[in-house]
Amino acid sequence: MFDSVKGFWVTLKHFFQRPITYKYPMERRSMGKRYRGVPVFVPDEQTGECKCTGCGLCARVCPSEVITVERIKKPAPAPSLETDQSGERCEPAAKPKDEVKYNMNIARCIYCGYCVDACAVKALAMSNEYELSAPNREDLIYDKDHMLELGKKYVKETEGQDQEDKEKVA
Amino acid sequence: MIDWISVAITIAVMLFIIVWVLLSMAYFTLFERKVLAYIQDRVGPIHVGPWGLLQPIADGVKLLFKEAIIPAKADKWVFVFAPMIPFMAAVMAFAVIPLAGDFTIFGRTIHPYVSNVNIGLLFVLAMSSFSVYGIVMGAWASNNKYSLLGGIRSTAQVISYEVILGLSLVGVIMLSGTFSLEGIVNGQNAVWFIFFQPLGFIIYLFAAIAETNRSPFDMPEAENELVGGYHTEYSGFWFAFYFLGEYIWMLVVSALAAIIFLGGWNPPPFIPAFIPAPFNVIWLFGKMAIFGFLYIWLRGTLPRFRYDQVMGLCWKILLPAALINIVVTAVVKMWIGA
Repeated sequence: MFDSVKGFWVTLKHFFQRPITYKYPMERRSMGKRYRGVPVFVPDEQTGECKCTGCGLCARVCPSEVITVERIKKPAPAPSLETDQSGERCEPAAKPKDEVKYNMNIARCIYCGYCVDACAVKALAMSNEYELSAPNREDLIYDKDHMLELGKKYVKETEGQDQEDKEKVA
Repeated sequence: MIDWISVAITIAVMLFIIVWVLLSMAYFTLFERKVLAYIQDRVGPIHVGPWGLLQPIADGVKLLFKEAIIPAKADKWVFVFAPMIPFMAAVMAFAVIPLAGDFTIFGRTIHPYVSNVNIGLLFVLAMSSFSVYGIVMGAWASNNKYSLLGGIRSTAQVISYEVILGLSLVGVIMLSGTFSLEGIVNGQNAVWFIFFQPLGFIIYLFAAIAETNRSPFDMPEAENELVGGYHTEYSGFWFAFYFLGEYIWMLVVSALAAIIFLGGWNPPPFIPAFIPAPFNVIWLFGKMAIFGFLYIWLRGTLPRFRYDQVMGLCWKILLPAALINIVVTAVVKMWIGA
């Protein structure tokens, strides 16, 4: 019979406790270390460029088939016919890097993280970004440059966290 | 000769009370949302104005702009007129509720109420009986069998608990000897009536909560809402009237409880009356706020009664208890008087 009276005490107690609401968008929660936000390209530490080699492993493993990778091979330059002062043949010009066309449709992405696990050079990472709305569908197909920009932001945000966590080793 | 100043004063008091009632009711809706939210570990409205203080105005504007639909086969005049009845009855009940003690300005005695009829309490009960018509007419005019069933259930609940409401107040009337609300407050200068009539107070609480169709007695407006209920076919503006009516009734009932059982505008016995009239209306507001909080606390805590439990509680438990209360009060009064 006194259970209902005890119930009143419970609600009164909760009335005076601090509410657990986060007042979005003024306050935001911080995500956990292994939170799977939108996939981004982590820039290389020395050169700051994208580490993607265009191997296409991420595209093959993606369960939703949202990644398209196209690797446009650039031919190696012909050996140089010039000689320098000492009479030796010059080194040929540097081979231009293959162009990689990379597109990921984050509207179809299921944020599973398989692409990050599959990447052979650890170019990809799951960032903490979850506010992804865009005014039209085309803006939701990210290309490499956009993902690299987001990756630079992600690296800056997570500076100081453990290296192991940042790389999200499976 | 007409004493124009008296007339002006009465009109000023009336305007004050009307404006105060409407504002109180609007902010009571906000109070309810915030208190319910904090009970549930969340914050209530916070975006519209600081602490959500402009939320009732936003709600009012929204309801005014909604499309008001009348069903094609509904009885149009009754449909439109029905929601105004509870609202009118509730506001009229405030005509006899005194807010503070009499005070004098420039040698004139001003009464902070609209009228002090000798049968003030009976008038309030009559208004509550009158407001039942609004529910019945709304249910019938909707031309919808679920609305009718919901309306009939609600009507039965309200008229049953009116009996209990009246009976629980008989003890107080015996103690104070008058129906006039100002007389009842003045009769509590020594001791508040809640100490003499604890059982009467509890029965009054039950009856008041059931009268206003509030949780845990809100079967007419909750479960039937899924299917029907007397205000199903009402949209926007007229729906607003029904809820205005309900919330103003809650204010009336809280004011009555504060006046009849808790001594109205008198401070608690251990505190000297340091606030002069008319500002001791603050005490009345404080007690009404406590009742408002009690209403909302009940709503946030209890699940609702099943309909047959509601009626069983009224006729099988509360009615005998109220009658016993009356008999005991009468016997004790005669015994002490003798």
